[in-house]
Amino acid sequence: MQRDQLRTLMTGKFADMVYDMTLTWPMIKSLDNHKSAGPNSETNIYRKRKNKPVKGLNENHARELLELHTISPNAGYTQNDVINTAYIMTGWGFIGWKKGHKGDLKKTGYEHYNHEPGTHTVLGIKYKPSGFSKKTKGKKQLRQLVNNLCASESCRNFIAWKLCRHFICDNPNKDMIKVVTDAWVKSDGMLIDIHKAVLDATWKYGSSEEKFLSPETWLIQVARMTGADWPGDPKNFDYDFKSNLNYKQKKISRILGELGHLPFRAKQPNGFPDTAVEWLSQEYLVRRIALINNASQFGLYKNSLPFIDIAKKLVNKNFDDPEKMISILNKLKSNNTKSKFNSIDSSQFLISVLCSRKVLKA
Amino acid sequence: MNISRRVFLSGSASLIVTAPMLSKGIASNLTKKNLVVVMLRGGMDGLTAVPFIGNDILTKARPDIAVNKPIKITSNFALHPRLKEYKKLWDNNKASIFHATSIPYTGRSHFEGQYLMESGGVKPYYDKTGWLGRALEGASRKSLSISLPMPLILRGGQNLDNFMPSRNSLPPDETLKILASDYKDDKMLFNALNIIRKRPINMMQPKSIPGKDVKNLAKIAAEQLNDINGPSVAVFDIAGFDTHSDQGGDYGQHAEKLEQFDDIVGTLAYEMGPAFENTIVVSLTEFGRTVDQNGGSGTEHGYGSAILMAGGLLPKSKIISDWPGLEKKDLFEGRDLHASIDARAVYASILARVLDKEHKQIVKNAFFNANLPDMTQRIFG
Repeated sequence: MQRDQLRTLMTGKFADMVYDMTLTWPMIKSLDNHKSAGPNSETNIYRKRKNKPVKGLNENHARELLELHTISPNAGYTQNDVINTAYIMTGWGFIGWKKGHKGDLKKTGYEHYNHEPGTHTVLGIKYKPSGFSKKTKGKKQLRQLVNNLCASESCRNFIAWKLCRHFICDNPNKDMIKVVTDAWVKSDGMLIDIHKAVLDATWKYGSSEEKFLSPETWLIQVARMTGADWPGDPKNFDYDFKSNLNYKQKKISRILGELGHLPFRAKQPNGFPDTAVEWLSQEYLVRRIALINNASQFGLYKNSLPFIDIAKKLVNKNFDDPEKMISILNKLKSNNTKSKFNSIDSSQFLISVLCSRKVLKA
Repeated sequence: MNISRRVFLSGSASLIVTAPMLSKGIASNLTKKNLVVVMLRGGMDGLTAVPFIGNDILTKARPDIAVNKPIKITSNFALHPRLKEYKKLWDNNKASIFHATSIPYTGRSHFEGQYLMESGGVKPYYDKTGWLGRALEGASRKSLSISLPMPLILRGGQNLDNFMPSRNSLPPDETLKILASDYKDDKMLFNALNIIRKRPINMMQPKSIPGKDVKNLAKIAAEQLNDINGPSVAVFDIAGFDTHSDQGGDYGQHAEKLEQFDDIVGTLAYEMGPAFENTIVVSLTEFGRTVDQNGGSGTEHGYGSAILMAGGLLPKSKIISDWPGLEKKDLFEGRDLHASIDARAVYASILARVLDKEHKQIVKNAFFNANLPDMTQRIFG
């Protein structure tokens, strides 16, 4: 979903991204919207007439659309707003299978007979049915709702705050957030402009702020610094949804899992945390140090290079004057023992560089 | 060069922990009282764990997900059939249930609710420390969370550690020392590393089975709680109680989650042996779930739930509740079990008992002097 759907929407408008993502099958499935039906929907009128149990309303997706994906509870919506959002969302579910895929990949769409008819009010705005065909009357309500949610100040502030928190520091201030919200207003929610503004804000404020890196970001940093075989050749990841994952494809998850940052496995719908106080615990830190200590077991490096070669590579790649650096290291070491850099404990060297404060925090 | 955690520790670092405290430790083991908090994330359904059987409202409201074979424990209440070990403790006067209770939060958001169940405050994302951490401040006790992150509930306390077993080994302490000198100007990193370096040997050994199984995790916690110099507070963190669909009744998702709680309690009771007599285990969740089942044979976010307690510190098994009833008019906003008691009052009284402190003092330190009645008599009387 992230690669094939979310990332293809990164160059458009935020509202389009929200709308399209809301209607992807994993989102609908994980938040149960396919199981929701309005109390006065055709489905339930029929069921009542036949004395069958009614198909109830499911608020799960509606609540997260408001809380996590757009305006956040700071916007001050009520339970009534949640229920009306859920009414607007009724009808959106699965309408069949995608061709050529095995497993759970389903087609999503709108089925009017689950939809709660009539006008629904969210945060004071009325969403009326449109057109005359009963099959599509209620279909546009969700699009209008998403547009209005995404055009609100609460949404801009919430998303800009999240972006600044991710890239600049755990407690972004108003000035940082304003750089992003200004670009949002000016571009009418174009993600390219919003993301450019995030870069501007990071450039402007980032050097005086520290950000403790999440395990995944840190690992990418480690891979870059050492030239590690991670995440590996992009060809390895041409996954077709038809076969089981192979060893190379699993490797990436194995390492991230050990670090506590397994993709798509955040325990809750609000995803992984994004602050030092959440990521900097003893056990998380142990996992990072132990990963470098056991790097060869994880296949972090091609053909299990000896540590010494990786250490040399790291010095060559990351220091302005690698020769000088190596000679300094040799000198330091020779004060204690007679050994040269070639034979110093390069695992120790790697850990003290890759788990140093400077690399853990950016 | 890979040296296992055991090898380097048996050399030097282990001395830091054990040697100086040994004589004091033996004496305190007899009176060392333990508290175990099991966080049940997602909204534990108190009406599934401990269903009301005094009338048929619940079974009618939940045609597909009612508990069909509840284990009757009083004339009005029953236990879920998967709470087998818990039932054994109940039969031995080592389990009590506080029913129709909740933290003072009615907003039905998981994330706000979970924040508040851990912070102990009333404003989401406001307090940066947790009620358990604040209660432990100055109590010279050690705490261990069985989780990868350090949960909010413990933040603000001292002597905190968190743990999940892993197959991988740390480098020798010599290497960690180099990192420590690099971290010295960064308080968070420096403190974290310092605690790692002082860990007891059995926490440093690579474990052959990673800790996915809660029984295995409970075993590790029991081992640490039984250590005279080890922690006297442990925290577990289980997610997955948010069953909006296919919640199940006797079997199914919610039942499996309850069984995990049961596994933790049962394993602790078994592994701790006599030390379980000086222990109390309590559950904690952000809210209960709606009385009615929803469109997907699940339930929605609600309000009142139950607190499940177990351990030898309880004098006898009982249901403690000012039961609000399940008639439509009795429900919160016409849909949820009401909470007649602030859950924080329950935790405050338990803390006072375990930490040997005045109730007033706990309410002040841990719960911002909130107006919380003393429940000591109702729980421990």
